[in-house]
This record gives sequence, C-alpha cells and structure tokens, in this order.
Amino acid sequence: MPFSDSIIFAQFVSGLSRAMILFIMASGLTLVFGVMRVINFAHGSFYMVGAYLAYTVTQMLAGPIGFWAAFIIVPILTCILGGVVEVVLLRRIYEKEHLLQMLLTFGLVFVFSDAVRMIWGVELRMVSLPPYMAGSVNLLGHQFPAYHLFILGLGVAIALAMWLLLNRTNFGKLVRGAAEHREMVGLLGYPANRLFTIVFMMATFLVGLAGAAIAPAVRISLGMDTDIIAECFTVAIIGGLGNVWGALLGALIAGMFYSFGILVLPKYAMAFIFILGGIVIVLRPNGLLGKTSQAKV
Amino acid sequence: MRSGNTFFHRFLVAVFLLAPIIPISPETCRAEPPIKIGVIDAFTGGAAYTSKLALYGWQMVADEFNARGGLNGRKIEIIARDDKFKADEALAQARELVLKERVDFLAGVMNSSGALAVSEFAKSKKKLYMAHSAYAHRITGEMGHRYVFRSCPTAGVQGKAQGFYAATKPFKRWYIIGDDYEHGHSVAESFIKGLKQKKPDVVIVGEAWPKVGETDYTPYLSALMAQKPDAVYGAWGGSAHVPFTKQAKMFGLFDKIPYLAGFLGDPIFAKVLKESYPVGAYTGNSYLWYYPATPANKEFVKKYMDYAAKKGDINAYPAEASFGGYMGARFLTEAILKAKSAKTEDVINALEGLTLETAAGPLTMRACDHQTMYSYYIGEIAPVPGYPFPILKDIMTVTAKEVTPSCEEIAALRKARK
Amino acid sequence: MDPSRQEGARSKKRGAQWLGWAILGIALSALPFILEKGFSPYYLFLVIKVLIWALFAVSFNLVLGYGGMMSLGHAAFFGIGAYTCSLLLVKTSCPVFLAILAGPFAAALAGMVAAFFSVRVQGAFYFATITIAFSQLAYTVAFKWRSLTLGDDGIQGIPVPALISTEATYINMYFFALAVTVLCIYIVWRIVKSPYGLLLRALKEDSVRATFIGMRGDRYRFIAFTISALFAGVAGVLYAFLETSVAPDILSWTSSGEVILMSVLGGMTLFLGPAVGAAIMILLSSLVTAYMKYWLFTVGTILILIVLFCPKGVGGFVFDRYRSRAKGA
Repeated sequence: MPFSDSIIFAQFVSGLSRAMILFIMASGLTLVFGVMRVINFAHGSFYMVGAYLAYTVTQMLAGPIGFWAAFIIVPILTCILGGVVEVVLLRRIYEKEHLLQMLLTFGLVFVFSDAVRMIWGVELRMVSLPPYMAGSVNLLGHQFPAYHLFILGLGVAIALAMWLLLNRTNFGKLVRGAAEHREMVGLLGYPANRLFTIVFMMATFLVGLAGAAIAPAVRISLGMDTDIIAECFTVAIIGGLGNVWGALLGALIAGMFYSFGILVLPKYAMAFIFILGGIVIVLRPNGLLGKTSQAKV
Repeated sequence: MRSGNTFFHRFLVAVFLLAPIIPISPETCRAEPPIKIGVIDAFTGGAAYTSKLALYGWQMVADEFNARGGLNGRKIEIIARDDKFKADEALAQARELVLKERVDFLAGVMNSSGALAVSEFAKSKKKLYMAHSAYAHRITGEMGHRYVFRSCPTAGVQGKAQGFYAATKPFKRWYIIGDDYEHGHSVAESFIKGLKQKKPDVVIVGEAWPKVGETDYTPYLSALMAQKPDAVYGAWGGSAHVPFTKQAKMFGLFDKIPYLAGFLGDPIFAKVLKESYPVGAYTGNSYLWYYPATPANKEFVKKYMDYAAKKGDINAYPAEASFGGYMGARFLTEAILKAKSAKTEDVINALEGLTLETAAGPLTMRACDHQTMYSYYIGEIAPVPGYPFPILKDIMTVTAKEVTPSCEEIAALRKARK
Repeated sequence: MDPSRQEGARSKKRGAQWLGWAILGIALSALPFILEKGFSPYYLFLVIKVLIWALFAVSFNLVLGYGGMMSLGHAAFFGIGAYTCSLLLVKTSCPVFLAILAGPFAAALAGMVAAFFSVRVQGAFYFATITIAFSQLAYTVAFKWRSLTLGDDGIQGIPVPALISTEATYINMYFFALAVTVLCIYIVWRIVKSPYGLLLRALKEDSVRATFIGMRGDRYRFIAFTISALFAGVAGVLYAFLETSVAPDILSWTSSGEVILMSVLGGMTLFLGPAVGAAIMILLSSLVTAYMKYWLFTVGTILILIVLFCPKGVGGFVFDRYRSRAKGA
C-alpha cells in the first residue's frame, strides 16, 4: 500500500510525541537501575499517583493556574514520596538477592494500587486543559493537537536538562561514575546512601512529571500503573539499562515502530516493540547503547 | 521455654487447619429466611464506575420489595462480590455464593467471558442467573439455556440499530475504530451489517483496532484523519471513550468528520468529558433518562437520583448501566411475586414472557431466549436549554422487533452448538 | 548409644513414621466426606483448589527456589495445559485420556521453546523480562486468535469425564486431584533428591564455580524449566476439569505473580514450602472475601514484610524453628 508523504509526516509527528512520554518515564527507570541496580516495578505506580495528584491539584486550583501548578507541585510530591519509599524500604534490600528486590517492588505495586483506590475511589477522573492548549495546530496541512506538541517540547527540554545535569555538573559526574562502577563511588568516600536516595527521588520526580503531563490527555484510572510499565521496561532494556540516552533511543524506536506499525500491520503493531526487546535481550543484552563490559546483573 | 514454644507452634498449626471452619455461621433459626441474591461485578478496576450504578438498581428494588413486606415476610438480602473484571474470579465468586452462602439467585458480571462462565455454572447447579450488564450476544444466543436471563441489551442489537441510523445519513465512506476485543468487534460487525442492509453502497475505507486499555491514540488518530473518510464509527466498550474522545477533540476530529459511537450519551461521559464532550456527534442508548419523557421515566429518575444521593453520589443521572441493573432486579422480584415463590423453577416459569411497565415503556423478557427486548434511541448530541449537559436531539427510535434476532434464528444457533 | 539400642531406636522411628503415614492417609480419605456432607461442598472445592495450586507452585519452585530463576511467565504453561486439553475436548472428538496427556505435553513443548531463549540470558532481570514476554505472547494468542481459542470469550462447558465430574459431588474430583498431585509432587521430589537436583542447586548457589567444574549451566536450567512447565501443564488440566471454564486471564502475568507469591510466602528453600504458601493464599483469600476491599493492599504488605523480615517464607520460618528446637532437644 503506497503511503502519501502526508501520512508519513503525520505518523512521524505522533510517533515523536508518544516517544517523549516514554522517554520521560524510561529515563527515570534506567537511571535507578544504572546507579542502584534495582528494578523498580513500582515505577508505573508513581506515574499513576502523579496523574491522580494532578487531578486533585486541578480540582483545588481551577483553570489554567491549576494546570500549570500541577506541573510544579505534582513532581515535587512524587519526589518526596519516592524519597520516603527509598529510605524506609529500598535501603534495606540493596544487599539482598535480586529476586527479593523484585518481589518487594512487586508488593509495592499492589499497595500503591489499592491505596490510590482507597484515596480517590473508582470514578473516572479528568483533568482539563486551558483553552489555548486544547485546540489543534496546523502543520503542513495536518491538524495536530497543540498539547502533544507541548509534550514534545517538554520531552526535549527534559532531555536537554538531563544532558546538562549529567555532563556539566559534579553531581552528574558522580551519577555517571556510579552507573559505571558502583563500588568505586563508595571507595572514593562519597556516601552512597545519599546518592541513591537522590537518584531515586530524581526518578520519581520525572515519572510524576510524566503522569501530570499526560493526565489531561488520557483517562485517569486504576490500571494506569500496569498499562504502561511493560513498554517502559522494554524501552529501557532496548536502550541499555543505566543509559539515559539509550532510553531516549529506545523511546524513539518504540514510538516510531508503533505509529508506523499500525499502518503496515495494524493487528500486531503493539507486539513489535516487545519482539524487538526480546531480540535485544538475547543478542545484545546490554542494550543498543550499553557497554558490553558492564557488570552482570 | 521450649515446651511453651512447642505448644505455641502446635496451637498455630491447629488454628491454621481449623481456619476455614471459622466463617461457618450456623443458619440462625429464622422463621422467614431471607431470599439471598448474589450480585457479582467489577467493583474495582477500570470498569468499576459502571458496576456501581447497576448495584444501585438492585439495592433500590430490594429496599422497595422489603418495605412492601417481601414474599410472605421473606426479605431480599443482596450479597455483592467483586470479580475484578476477570472471568475466573467471577466464577470463583459464583461458586462461593452458591455453595457456601447458598444464595437463591445469581446476578451481574459485566465481563462477557465471566458472564458466560457463571452462566454455565448456574446451569450445572440449576440456579437462576440474571445477567445485567454483559452485552455479548452469545450469552442468550447460542450459549443460552433455561437458567440464564438477561436484563440489558446485546451488542448485536445496538450495533445493528446504529447501522440503521447511519444509513439515514449521506455518508458513504466509513472508517471503523474500536477496542480490540470481542465486544468491539462484535458491535462493529453488527453495525456494518445493519448499515449495508439499508444502504448497500457504503464502503469501509479503513479499520483500526487499538488494544484495550490503550492510553495514546495519537498514531491512530493521525492515520485516521489522513484517510479522510466521510464518517467514523467508534466501536468502544466504555471507558475507552474518555481518552479517545479527549484526544480526538485535540486533533479537531469532531469539527471535520462526523462521528458515531455507542454509549457516548451516558450521563457519566458528559460529566467526565466536560468541554471535550463531542457536540455534534451521533450516539444512542437503550435507555435515556429524558426520553421518552413519560411520567414513569421522570418518577424513576427522581427515585434513582435520591437513592444515589443518599450513597454520596450527587447529581447522578441514571445511565444505561443503572437501568440494566434495575430492570434485572425488577424482573426477578416481579417474577417472585407472580410465582408466589422463590424456588428457581417457579420463578423461571413466571419470568418467561413477563412484560413490565417501565421507565422505558413496556419491556418484555422474551420466553424463547430469556432476553429483554430493548428498543434503541439514537440521535445527535446537542446542548438543549434546560438540561445540565448536552443531550440527544432529533432522536430516532429503532424498535426491538426491527433489530432483535427472531426466535427461530436463536433456536438454530443453539442447535448448531456442539 | 550402643548399636543394639540404636537399632531399636531406628525401628521405633520407622514404626512411628508408618503410623504417621497411615493416619495421614485415613485423614485425607475421610476429609472430603466430612467437608462436603458436614459443612459445604465449597470447602472441599477449596481443598481441591489448594491441591492444584500446590502442584503448580511446587513444580514452579523447581525453577525459582532450586534453579534460582525468577520466571514471571509460568502461568503461560499452566494456561497452555488447560487450554490444550479443553480445546481438544470441546472442539474435537478426541478421547479423554489423550486430551489429558496432550495438556502437559503441549505445556512442556512451550516450556522448551521458552527455555531455549531464556536460559542463555544472563541476569535475573533480563530473564524475568523474557519470561514475561513469552507469557504475554501466549496471552495474546489466546485472546486474539478467536478461531482457535474462542478469544476473550473463553471456553465454557468443558466436558469433564463423568467419573470425576463435579456436577453432583466434588468428592470424586478430590480423589482424582489428590492422586495426580501426590504422584507428581513425588516425582518432583525424586528429581530434586537426585544427583541432577543436587547439581542444579549447586548451580544456583554459585554459578561461576559450577561452570569451573565443568557444568553446562544452560542445559541444567533448560531441563528444570521444561520439567516445571510439564507439571504446570498437569495442574492446568486439573484446573480446567475443576472449573469447567477457562479464559485468557489465567495466562496473564498476574497469575504468574500469584504462584510466585505462594512460593515466596511458603518458603522457596523448602520443598513443600510453596504448597504451604498455596494453602495459605487460597484459604486467606476466601476467608477475606468479606474484606475484599483491601485484598491487594493486604497481599502487597504481606509480600513486603516477608521480603524484609522473613525471606524464607512462613514455611521456612516454621521449619527453622522446628529444626533448631529439635537440635537443642
């Protein structure tokens, strides 16, 4: 089936915006793994909490103020929540087997899921967009939601901010060093505990931001946590666990695969990314951008 | 110290082994044992917002029944159980309700595969099961039997009615998009059949089936709009309406292309979607709280809203799901009263062919397949003065007879089943 | 102790053991009647369910506890066993015993395919992800391939052989499930105690050293995985007969999560630990039905507490105390 240039352009742009949300989420996940060597199954749960919190914020502060406030307040809240979780729970399991770590975060998923239900109930929730964001923008003859272009911009901004943080600050150097060689950091005298807490809080900040960003565009419901987690993990793996740019690459691939996949093989488009993930795991387990010399999990 | 430990451990083991016996409460010798009805539904999870409405219907009717003295003093007791929208969970709850709680009747289950499983179980245990929110045709179609009844419409009936309505519009090139599961496909199939029956020259220019629970429809929307169809049909199950409609609005879909989808007229969506609610789109329901505006309907709406308000649900206009649950309860209780008995076989006999005066006019529980014969009301979403949110205008009524399969067709389907 | 007294002590011990087994046998045989007639068939149903999941969990533990592999997709094999048997019975006129055998066979086959790709993967997390991928694949096939599996409607009305049918009573099904479960668990027990089993455990303890002494780790893991898949398939067939309905949900990774929970709760280091975990989970969930509102929260909290304070599980904990008491005596 021949495709016109315009469809290709349309799918390209929508693939990009999808990729950005995946990137924001997967970058936190991969950072946590890279530095702390912990797989956080509850990552999606923080995302869901972020979305629900955005609902609450916009309920308390109406109109555009509430919308923008959510972007600031929600990530801070999820960040704090992440800090609490890290200090109270995660810290105790760093030395334990991976199996037990995974089980703990698994348990967290259940707890969060029910907690959200107990606090916010089972109703469908909705966040409104300010009017200037709710319309569509004409790009080369195609209508695109203004909001998705905003998310695109947001993703790019975050990518830039992360680059600056990781490459231009001392803290960033520390994080990169820890991702490469965790033991070294402790040997150099830096308190690993504090580093871990900060990194985890960074990750939950990012994922809360993702939740708040996407809340106006989707249904906010229980089940959000598990819906996105599989793709998020796959993206992180494809890019290479521990590598933020890998997450970006993986997210772009996932976004494009999906948006073009539904044109070519609509029934199986959602499977493409998982198939790719499987191939990557078997052939190049450290991901596309991961180094082969990285320590085994 | 050691012997204390031994004793303690043995005590623990004994408690553990005896634990299952604890919940057995010997049936207190009551003169009039209650009529127990087990309502199983998805009270947690994404579908919970609808299940709760159906339960309101059951509780309302049960309260009235009991207030009027019940059946010779026997009152109805509703036992609600959560199936988390999973078929095996629904079956497990049905089993517990029948074998342990010894309920007299089973009801509920929105998940169609759960409903089918519970229906099969009810058949084997010879208990009456009233499905009140599962739309799969097979439940009262080829998999139907003596012990299952349904108080809500079927996807097939609604899809076909939507097709008939679509045929009255001048659109020729249709694009179909929907949830990729049994319900979505089934309602789309019926829609296309109904549409082509009345307007054979329509063409389906494309189809898209995003997975159930998809959050991001943008790639689908951009592909859809690039196809430039005359109209779009949305074969959504329910909650998918929210993200899809929101995102479609952001794409400007509703300004450019006519859109038809079922369930969109539910008051819940009007409330949740607010400014994203697609005014100008077409939708329908088998029950509308404002049409026909009969005294019976107005009375029902008032009763329902008062009841919901007592439960903390303010301004809860009754939706189709509310009505399905309510009618399930009404059919069952009226049959019990008619048969003057709560015995399954008696109630079944009384229920078959029973016609009730309802808020939606006279409704009949057809004897040959135990399916309630619903009409369908379909029109265009528009703001109408005097109403709290946009409702339907220019409503076309498709009668049950036009779109329900005949008794002969149902019988043939059931015979063909192995 | 002099030899003659040792002999006497040993034969007394053996005698006591025989007595113990006899009592157990009588109790197990009488149980169904007591439960069904005395209380309610529902309790007998629960017991059968415990048996099925105990079998599933114990065979799963071959991979988890003994093999050291966290497989998040084992429910796929359970489901493939259930679906294969059901489809054969519902769609074809296949003789019953063939259908019963086909279930575990198909599951084992699937297990081999999954194992082939998974065991060569290094790293617990990657392994877990691949197993999730496989189970999602199985789930998607069951969900979408309507012409084969009846799709998300599921299969109802599976024709159970009259002898063990649960229509009239659960007692026959109980004995059938008991026999199958005991037999299969016994087989797994023999495997674990065999030289192969010991080597598998060595592999888990220290894979580097094991490879140094010449073990082909992959092959051992492959075998463990396949065997475990086979018995998961058996459990699946029993499940299909008990429920007479199957739906794609049983293949999803949340079901896999349940069996992991059972194994961890009961104790991964103990052979029968997962069976204990299965019993606890099933009985707990049916007791807590009235409190269903907080089920997920409860389960999650229990899991977290176990990981933090009691990683050997309930069974492991009790067993340790019992052992230390016996030593101290």
